[in-house]
Amino acid sequence: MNTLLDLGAAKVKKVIVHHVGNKFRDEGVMLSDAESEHDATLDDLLLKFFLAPVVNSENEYLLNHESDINLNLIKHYSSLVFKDENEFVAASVAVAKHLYISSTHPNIGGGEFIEILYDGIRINDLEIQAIGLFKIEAKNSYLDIKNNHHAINIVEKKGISVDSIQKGAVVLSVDNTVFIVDNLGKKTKYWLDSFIKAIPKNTTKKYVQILGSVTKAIANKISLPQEHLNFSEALANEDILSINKLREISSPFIEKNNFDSIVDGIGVKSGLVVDADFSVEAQKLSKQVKQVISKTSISKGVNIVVTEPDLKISSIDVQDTEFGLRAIIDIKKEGV
Amino acid sequence: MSKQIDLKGLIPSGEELRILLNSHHISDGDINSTLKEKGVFCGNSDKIISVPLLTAMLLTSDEYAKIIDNSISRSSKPKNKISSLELVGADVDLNEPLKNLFSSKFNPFEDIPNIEVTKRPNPIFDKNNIVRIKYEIKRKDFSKDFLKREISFEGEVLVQKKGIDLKIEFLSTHTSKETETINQRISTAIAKELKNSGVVQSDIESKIIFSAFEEIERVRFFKRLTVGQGAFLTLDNVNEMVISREASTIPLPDDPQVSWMNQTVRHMTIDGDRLHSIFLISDEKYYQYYFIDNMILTYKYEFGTNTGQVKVAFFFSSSSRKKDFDRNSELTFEIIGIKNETNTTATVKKNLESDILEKVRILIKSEYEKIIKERNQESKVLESNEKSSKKKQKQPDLFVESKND
Repeated sequence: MNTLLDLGAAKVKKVIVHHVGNKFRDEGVMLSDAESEHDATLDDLLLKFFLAPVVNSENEYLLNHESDINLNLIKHYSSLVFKDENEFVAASVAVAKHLYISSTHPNIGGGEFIEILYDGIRINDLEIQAIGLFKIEAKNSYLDIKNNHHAINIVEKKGISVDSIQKGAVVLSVDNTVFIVDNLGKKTKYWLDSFIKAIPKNTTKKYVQILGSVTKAIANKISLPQEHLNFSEALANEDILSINKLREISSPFIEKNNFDSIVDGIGVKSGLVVDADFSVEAQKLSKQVKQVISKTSISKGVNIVVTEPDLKISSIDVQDTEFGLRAIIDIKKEGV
Repeated sequence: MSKQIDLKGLIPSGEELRILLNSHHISDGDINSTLKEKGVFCGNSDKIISVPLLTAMLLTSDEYAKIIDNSISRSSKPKNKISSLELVGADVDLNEPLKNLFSSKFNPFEDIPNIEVTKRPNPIFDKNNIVRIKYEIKRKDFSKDFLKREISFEGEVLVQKKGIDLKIEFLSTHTSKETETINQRISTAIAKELKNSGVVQSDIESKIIFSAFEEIERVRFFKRLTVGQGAFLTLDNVNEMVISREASTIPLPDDPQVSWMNQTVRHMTIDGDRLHSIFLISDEKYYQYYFIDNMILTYKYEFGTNTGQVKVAFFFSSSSRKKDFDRNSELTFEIIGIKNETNTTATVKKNLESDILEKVRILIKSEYEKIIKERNQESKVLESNEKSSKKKQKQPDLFVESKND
């Protein structure tokens, strides 16, 4: 299940900023020894443009460690702060050093590392805290106006854009849940893999994608049109879908090995160890299922697509002729 | 009329070939790769080993042409060096001393064998305190003897005074070894002339030479060139790093991580997407045991509406013909290729190249100055620690550094 957070009463409690360089270039770090000053206006921006986009991204992960979760540095230092807020500065210094040690790729830009302690976040009836970790790797140019008595001038300035988070993570004080956003990391990949160290969480959103991809891949493997129709019909009759359910309804049409390789491939692509029993309501998969049901392959490169919901292909008979092929298609109108 | 040699039918061998292969125009790599193509794999690329091997074989005319073409195309690519002089004041006149120098009997081509001057250096004075000294020579040596080709090489020394800076900046662009020597002579002569005219404090140019770095700093400096230059140049890729043990004076420690390099590695090319994670490159404690011989970086550039990629090589180069590594060799950079995202005119391309050269010059200079500043700060800390007490010296916190930008 996705974690549903209510940010309505969320507040910024503490903020600190350090400068973290690139370790490949031996740039070092500059550490603040005190919290940053912040007022209501800034707090609003830090809630609206830092906390909300990361949480609303629904990119939910679980903090991870190969042997013991408490050895995950983000988990360790976040837990210290959740237990005692006075540890905030010291813990943020340790996290900044950890970020520096993780910044070994030459394409990582040195920049400000912002740590924010939020409270007043609610999950159902439970009030929780969260720690936001944000790294600014590149500053954006913006234009400002300067009145020079005789002429009004345009001046170029550099600043932190609030429109898109470059790298952000929000660690919740419950479970080991962390929301992660990385809009710059295609090449460097350090934010998730070496700094935060997290694995994707099994969420409905992820399983909608996985089950949708598996369903499509199965449909592509079924070559006979009539079998495709039978698979579509079996699919349409299910209220709840899971990998195991898909295995069951596709078993008359594709080999077990084929099915397993489809699931393995999609699991690797999504970065998840696929849970075969994770169930999703078929309604949530309606878009993906609809695509499979509405499109029937008659022959290689020849598909028939039915877009009218009341119409349904009931049978297809494809025959080879001396000119090519002939297909006899029975389309049934529902309610008739 | 001179006899034309038909390259297609030329099969050079023996003594004739040995002299050519041993000349500085042909690199160790050219010989080694030709040997490899002929099925001879030689662990040591030193010419002492490889030249006799190749001389003992017959080269096809295609193989021979490839060696020569590689040498010519390498020599033809412009390579750049930077240096500077301290001015005595902001309001100085550069033009008069330079006019005097180039109207005198000054001859930077003296005693350089096998060249003919085709365009004499003629300073062009720009309004913005920029003086451009361009020239061209024709090489008459091996290439003419063997190919009957006339190969021209250009050289340029750009002298500029930027804004209120109390400095004169040189950007010397050479192609062949000969133009590298000529550039050096021109800038030395300019420095002397300016000193005699009382414009600069010293006639010794401040250059970035190999021995100006302390062992660890050199590798660090190269790695820092990946930082780019603001929004104009941002790193896209580290294509290649060639590390060398050649000039290292520090013996390898008894550490299995590096001791394997002892007498087995002279040059080693490291490339790939994750070269930063290789311990030799990532761990500072190994910096002292090698130096970066060549580093090729790709930057993304942005100049106005022009965007694209530029590939730049950084290395140390010397005009010295000494066989041993020249510790006075200067930091050099070469633009290997510029790929603009949209088609553009030749004029725009030329302007782009000069904008890129200027930004790379600023990048090199600022990163070098940063290294020197850090060294001075470190020695100040050490000095004050020594003075304040004779207690055991406390190691400075590695993580706390002042922001240098």
